[in-house]
Amino acid sequence: MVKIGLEVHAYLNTHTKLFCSCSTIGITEAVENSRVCPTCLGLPGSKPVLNSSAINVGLKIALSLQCKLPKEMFFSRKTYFYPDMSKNYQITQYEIPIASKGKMESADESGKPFSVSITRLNLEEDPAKIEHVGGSITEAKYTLLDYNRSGLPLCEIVTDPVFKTPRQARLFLQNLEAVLRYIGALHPLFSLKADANISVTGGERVEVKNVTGYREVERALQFEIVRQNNLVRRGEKVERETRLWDAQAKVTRTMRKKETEEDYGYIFDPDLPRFSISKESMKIISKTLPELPREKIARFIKSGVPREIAKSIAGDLQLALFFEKLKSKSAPRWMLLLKKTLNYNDILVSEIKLSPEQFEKLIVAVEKGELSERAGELILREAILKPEKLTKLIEDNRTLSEKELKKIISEVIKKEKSAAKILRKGNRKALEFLVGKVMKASDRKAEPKNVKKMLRKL
Amino acid sequence: MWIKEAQELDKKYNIFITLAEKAEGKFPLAVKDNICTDGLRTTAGSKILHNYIPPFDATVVQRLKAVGAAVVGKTAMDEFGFGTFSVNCAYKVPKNPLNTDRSCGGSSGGSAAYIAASKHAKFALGQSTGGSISCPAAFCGVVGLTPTYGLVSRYGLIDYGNSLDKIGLLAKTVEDAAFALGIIAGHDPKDSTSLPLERRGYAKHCIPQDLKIGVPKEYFESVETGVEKAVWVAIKKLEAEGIEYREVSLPSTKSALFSYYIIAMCEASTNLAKYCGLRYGLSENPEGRSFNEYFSSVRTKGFGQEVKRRILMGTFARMAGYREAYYLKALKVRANVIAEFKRVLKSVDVLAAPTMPMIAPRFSEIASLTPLQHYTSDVLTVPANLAGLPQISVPCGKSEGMPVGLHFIGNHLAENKIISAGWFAEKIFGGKHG
Ligand SMILES: [Zn+2]
Repeated sequence: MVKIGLEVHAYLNTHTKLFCSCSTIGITEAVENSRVCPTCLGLPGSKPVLNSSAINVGLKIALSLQCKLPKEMFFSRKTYFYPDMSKNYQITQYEIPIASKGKMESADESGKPFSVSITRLNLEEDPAKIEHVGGSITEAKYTLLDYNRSGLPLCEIVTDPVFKTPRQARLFLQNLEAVLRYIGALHPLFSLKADANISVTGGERVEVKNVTGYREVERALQFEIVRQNNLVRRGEKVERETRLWDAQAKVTRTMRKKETEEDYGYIFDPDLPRFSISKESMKIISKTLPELPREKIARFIKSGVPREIAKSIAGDLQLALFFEKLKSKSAPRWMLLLKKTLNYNDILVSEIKLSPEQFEKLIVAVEKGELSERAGELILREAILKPEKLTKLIEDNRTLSEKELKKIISEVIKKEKSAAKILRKGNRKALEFLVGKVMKASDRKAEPKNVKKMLRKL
Repeated sequence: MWIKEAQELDKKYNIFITLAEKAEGKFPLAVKDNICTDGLRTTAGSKILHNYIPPFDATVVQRLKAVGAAVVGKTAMDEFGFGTFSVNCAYKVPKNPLNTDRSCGGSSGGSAAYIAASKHAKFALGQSTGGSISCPAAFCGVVGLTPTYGLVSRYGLIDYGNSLDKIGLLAKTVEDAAFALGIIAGHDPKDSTSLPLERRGYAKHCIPQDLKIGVPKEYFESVETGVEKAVWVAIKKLEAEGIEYREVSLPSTKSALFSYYIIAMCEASTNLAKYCGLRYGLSENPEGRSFNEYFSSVRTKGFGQEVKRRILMGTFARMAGYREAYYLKALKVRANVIAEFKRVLKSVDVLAAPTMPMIAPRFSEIASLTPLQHYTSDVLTVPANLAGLPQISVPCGKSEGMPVGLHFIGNHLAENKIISAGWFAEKIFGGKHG
């Protein structure tokens, strides 16, 4: 069995950094080292001042992930020496994080809903951006540092090891990003960054770092499963270690073994007083939140959507938002088909070109009997990325009306007199022969089922 | 004129690490060298910051400049404040103006010596973590005022132990100290631990108040006889003037010392991590060396012995496996110490005790002390500092011809009471301008 847990970093959507008033707006476009001040440069005598809006955004995430909040919280210093650290300690949360024990509704690869348990959320400052020129930190000719990044507010979201496949982990990441964007918590210029830990039966837990992009997360984890299973099969040990993903070589490599893991010597940050969040301010924050996935599920069920389908749809926020624009009765079932099509073609919801209005047109055509179910499904597959073809596809695949079909059948029978004769005696071969002829004559627009029915009645 | 005097005093007593080129304003101001001054070198007494010129003023400096202060220089101190006698110095060791064979106390030694010797200055900026204002005040025979933790902004103070550090004053008189406190105290949004209090005057508290005084018996254990005598004479004088005292007990006094040093060193060891020769301060040619080799080399050269000792001890006390037994335990002891003070300060208004257990020692005596003996000489000033309580040291007499300090300790934000007590005592004992 495979167990995967994720450690996700989200850049929070605030106007200023976590502990100073340097602007974060358009930060990735800013000239290197132009968004800095004594505090985020770690100059002697500077002091951190907590950006309360970062706390509010953190609390929004906590609420939307149904987390428990502590009575009182504080920041800690995590001390280690690295050139991207302006103070050689990072202000983060250790003993008591901003929130813990939450969950998020997600869905697995087959569309089955499942709930992801969240271990904890904590707020911390980002280090500077570091670029080793000419190799790794030990080999590089020199190293460039951009302190614009230093002090950006990050929320670390840690899940329990609940994912059983790399795909599930990837789907969760996509979904989490959608939720964080939807509630306005994620900085518009950043995606989520994720580290993963993974273990197979009979082996120790391995951390995989340095992965950019959700597809890469899936790939790195797939690689690890194969690597770890091979070790177990050969009777070798899977050691507890941290590995880096090399996206070019498509392999993970050892970064450090457990025994050399660092001791961060956490202390409470004495520059930042303890604080608590009042019930009133939580109420105000919860009012700013849009309808959350779990609330959507309840509403969908109330409006008649079957429970499992409701969960499956709202397990993917973007899918739920798409669904909300549809009015047709059979829309819930069609959402499952849409989901299947996405998985089948490895397409993200965000990559869908087909608009909800166009999708609706397709659904209505099937509901009215103008298209067969099967044709509808096939059209969806094609139109999902090429909606401009939709009208023509519907037109070309339109089923025949009873009148049109009758006309074709009587024409075929006129031509195939001998077959028609045997048919009336109940010959099966003749039936199949005639169905084939009718299908051909109808340009394959007829439903074989209907054709059979009508031929039998003759 | 002020610069000239400062230069002369510096020649005699090694008071300044850096002197200003000119000083124009309404009054001269000497600033302890761990308080940042815009454009004027600030080293915190360390070689690792030998070339550091801050791009901003500490809030206290900014507030004093706004009312006419002219910074004359940055005063000598123990490196990063790590010391009791201003001998752990990377630059020069300041000498006591009353007897140059003797220490002027630490770690705000330069500021105290300047106030003791200057004809022009009425007060100077000092800073206390565990007693670094009161100690040199007592040794140099001046007034030392350490405010409640959080009353004065720490913005621009180069950190030692952030939960303990307080900027305060060395002054000729209690009134001078109280006046200056009124300028520097009050909320500062740049320091998150700064209390949300409006700025107000403190000199108005230089009036007699009906105060009950508590004398903690533990504060006379291991005190030099001459100091003990002088302090009791002072307390009796006060009694004769109608200020009653009663004996009280603070049993946590000794455990406070251990708690203090653990917390201070733990915090210090993280604060000092930033000095790695990267963006400011001492640097070297990094060619051919890894980051680890580079910063280790810079730190080896830039830090003095006492600094290294405290980084090692502070790092040890917060490591996994020891953290519980040292750092977290020290925090619990601290909470007990605060509770104990609070309990006693319900029955009395202020506590009175010797500031230091000894008079200013000779440099030759200091040289033979072990590090532990250095640390234990702070036993009388540390508990109140650990608890963040306001304190004032006023000269109350002499022993072997050297001044003895009487220490008044008040409840949190009871600056009015210690100022009143200090002012009254100064009058009775015949202080410099009393
Ligand atoms: Zn900044």
